[in-house]
Amino acid sequence: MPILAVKQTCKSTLMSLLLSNFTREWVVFTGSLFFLFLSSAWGQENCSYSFQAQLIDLHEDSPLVDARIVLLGTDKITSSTEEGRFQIQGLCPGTYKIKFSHPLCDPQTKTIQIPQKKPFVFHLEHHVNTLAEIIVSEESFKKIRKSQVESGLNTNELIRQQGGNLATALSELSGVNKLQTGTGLAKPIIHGMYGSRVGIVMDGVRLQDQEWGADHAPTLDINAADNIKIIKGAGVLRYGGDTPGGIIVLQKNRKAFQDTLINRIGTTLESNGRGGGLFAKSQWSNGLGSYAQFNITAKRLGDLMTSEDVLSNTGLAEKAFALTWGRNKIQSGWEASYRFYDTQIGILRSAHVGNTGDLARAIASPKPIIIEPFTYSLGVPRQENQHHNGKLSYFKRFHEVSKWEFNYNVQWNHRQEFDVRRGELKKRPAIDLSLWTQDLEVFLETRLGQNYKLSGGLSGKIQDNFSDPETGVKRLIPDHNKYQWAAFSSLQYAPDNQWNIDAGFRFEGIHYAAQKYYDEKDWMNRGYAVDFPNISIVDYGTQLLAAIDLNFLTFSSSLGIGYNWTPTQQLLFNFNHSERAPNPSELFSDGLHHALATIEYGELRLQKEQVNKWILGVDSQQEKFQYAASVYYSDLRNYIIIEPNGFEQTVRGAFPVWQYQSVMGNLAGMDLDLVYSPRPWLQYKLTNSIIRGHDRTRDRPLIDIPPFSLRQQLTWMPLQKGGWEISLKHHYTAQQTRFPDNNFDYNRLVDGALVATRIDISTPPKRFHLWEVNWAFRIQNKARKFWDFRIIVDNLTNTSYRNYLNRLRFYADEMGRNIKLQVNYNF
Amino acid sequence: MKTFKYPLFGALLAIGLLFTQCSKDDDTPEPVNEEEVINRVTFDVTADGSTTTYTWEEGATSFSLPLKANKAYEVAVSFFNATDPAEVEAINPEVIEEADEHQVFYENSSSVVAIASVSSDNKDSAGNPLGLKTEWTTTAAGEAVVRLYLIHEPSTKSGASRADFGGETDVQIDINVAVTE
Repeated sequence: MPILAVKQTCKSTLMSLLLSNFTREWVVFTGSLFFLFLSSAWGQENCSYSFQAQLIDLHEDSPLVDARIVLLGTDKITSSTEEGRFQIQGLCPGTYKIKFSHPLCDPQTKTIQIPQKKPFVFHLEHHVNTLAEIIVSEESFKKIRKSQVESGLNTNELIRQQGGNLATALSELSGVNKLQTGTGLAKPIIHGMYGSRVGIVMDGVRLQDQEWGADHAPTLDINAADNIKIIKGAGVLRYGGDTPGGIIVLQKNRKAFQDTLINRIGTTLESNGRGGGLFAKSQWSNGLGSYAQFNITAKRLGDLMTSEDVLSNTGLAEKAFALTWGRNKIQSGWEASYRFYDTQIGILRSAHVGNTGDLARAIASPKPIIIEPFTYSLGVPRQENQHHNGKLSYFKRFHEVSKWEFNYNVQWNHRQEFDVRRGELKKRPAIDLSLWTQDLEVFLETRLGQNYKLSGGLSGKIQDNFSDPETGVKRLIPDHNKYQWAAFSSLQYAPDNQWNIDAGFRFEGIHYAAQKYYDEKDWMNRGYAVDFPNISIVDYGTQLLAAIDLNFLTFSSSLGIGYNWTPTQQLLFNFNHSERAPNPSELFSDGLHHALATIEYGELRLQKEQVNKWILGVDSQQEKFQYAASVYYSDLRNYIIIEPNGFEQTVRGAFPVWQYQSVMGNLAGMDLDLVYSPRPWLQYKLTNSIIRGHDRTRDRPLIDIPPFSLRQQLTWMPLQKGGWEISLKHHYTAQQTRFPDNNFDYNRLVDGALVATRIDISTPPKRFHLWEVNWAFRIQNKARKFWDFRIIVDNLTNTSYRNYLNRLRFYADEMGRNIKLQVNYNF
Repeated sequence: MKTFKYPLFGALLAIGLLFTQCSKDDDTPEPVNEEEVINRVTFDVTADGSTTTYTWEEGATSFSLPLKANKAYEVAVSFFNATDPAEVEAINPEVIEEADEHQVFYENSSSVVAIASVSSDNKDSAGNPLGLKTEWTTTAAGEAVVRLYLIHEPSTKSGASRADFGGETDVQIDINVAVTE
């Protein structure tokens, strides 16, 4: 039965390759879902039973990774995965004894029955003060937040992405895309949302880095993380209620309670850009619970290439450094960490245009207008970012079942954007923003009996945003302070092994205190003088300084229900109500955008944005066949978008004005992930996602919604030992057929008269197929010392294509073939 | 319990101090004087020894230059930053100093006026006329639009249309040339 299903799915996906028609895609999608459901009925014969369970650390509620599991009396041995899961196959009915051992614990033995009737979760507890004693309990099904829809990347998948950026790494997952500005700058899009609607949390701390900019990539080094998860449920409420897209959580692995020193040094060399990176990582821990981790990254690339041409000024220089030091004494513990990230990224030189005429010429030109010989040097335009992040945390357990945590975090983000300028100004940035953030959180977690877990906390945040006037350019966003407080709580209820329910809420108060210069004419024309009579104003002639105070109170909530109808199959339902205060760019932005030849204006009257989102998911983790599918619908109220709104006459001709405004709308979509392993040495993987966005206010599609995309991967592992692996990946992206028409007229000069010509900035680029091959092998010299080699060829066929979600798609093709060599030494 | 309370208290106090230290007094931000802006363009039109100046100001939607038929004019264009009316800054010296990175170009496909370079024009290091001074020769009466460009970092210094020059447009103004008898 599963085989039939997969054949059908393959056929369906092939069909979708041939047809870019949307209706077909829906049919394909629902078709593949249907077969998945059919396949969930599985046949069983004698001695073909399997046993699955998950190992959870009772205190941390986190999976126990790399525990050793032995089925006594048989030759069956396995170890737990990153999710703490394990599976033993080929079992006959009967009673078995199963033994667990883990570096944190002494071995323990449990009795199990085959066939397995219900899902098992074993909770391992380090007994207070005596590390050697462990309690194994499976009374109740206390999974970690398994009422939520989650997806992620584990350590191995992250190592494969070594040298890449966060958005690119995550775009491997269904429902995740990236919004690019050229090639080096990318930010993740989750379920059609990006920027302020997606939170990024690293080591329990929300990243504060001017996330509102569509061309601002997250300022963090993914090489410092051991795994990445995307959470789209109640779990996000601890970090914010303003992220209807979801929260990306980057974590480090838990440290073992034993003397360990794990080191890895590696490099990734890339042919496209003729450079690469060096990466080093060191983890140390001892039996007393002390631990330290150290990471260093250095990366340098020159100009990238399309399939034919040099993409001038697309080089990159990146440095990152992270140090964590802490001690876990079980009953209490502390951690201090510091992370530094520095990046300089060139932005395609041809993408800097002076006016709409330049834009029209760039669109008409099939090649970038400026193509210089390859160079490593970074010219203008370029972005320079530094991010410092310091954290202190402390936890203390009490009454056996409760724990409180205390977290303090300070971040400094410095962003400079250099533009094409004249004379003395060349060396000065056109944008120079400093953002200080301090964040304090107190968090409490307690168990109420066996079935309930209650958690909650309070947090306060102060942010100081400074825009250096030395730039000689009108501030894009004004100097402002942002004060934020929040109270949040969630309750998890797990009555038995089948049901898991959680609900939570978050209250947040936000206060903006901004001082902004407005053009006197602007202030009047936009009606602010009438609508905001209480704003105090100082007149400076043509400009006036307005002291703006804005308050927002938001309430976000969430409900999640998880139901296991068989040991390996689960239904998930989630409802989230999220409220988001407008970000500084939406409220205050004021300036010329050189990549799109637009003038962008914020809007002071914006109200908080509200999103109601429903997700229904199903997931199945069977022996050969695993899948996760989900459908979602988001109702958008006061959804803030930027749209064209008239023209402004300037010395460079008429400029389209883009204005932030709020609309009613909806987003709906489906995600599908499936893995089929017919043999231990063969695996097929499919990731598929479809999304629709609609602006109900004006009855037209929303902008920048990812088109249908599909990824397939066939992996062949001819030798179980030696880590041999060859995989072929195929990535198909359809042409987006639903997009708003933002085209405008430009007057060309023909025979001494002006003739209006339409400039097409709306039509998305054509569909494309990309192929990638990946060859990996391992050379092991001693028990824990090994070399990992990997050769990756991206865009194998050197295809020329453009991507709808690249804001610089008018100017140049995407990157051509890239051959990467990765070498890692683990010791 | 004692051992844990005091360090915690200390930590809270230290953080409280940090909080107050970092939230600076609400300094009034300095106004930004935009240094790169061009928002006034003047045309000094000279014929028969007398000069008339025509001024284009930012925001103007139409701009006319009245000329007589069958006549030769010398037209000198000047760019200014007039953001601060008390301190109008001339941009021409900067354009002349960075002559290699700038080019003034008149896009003209009309039959009523011909635009040619003059020897008194400023030149770049390769001897190319910068276009700040030009000679306009009118023929018959009529109307036409001539488009002025100030191009930054042009890829080449000569051409018949805007597209030939590459680079970025710093100034683009449509001039309604009205030639009368």
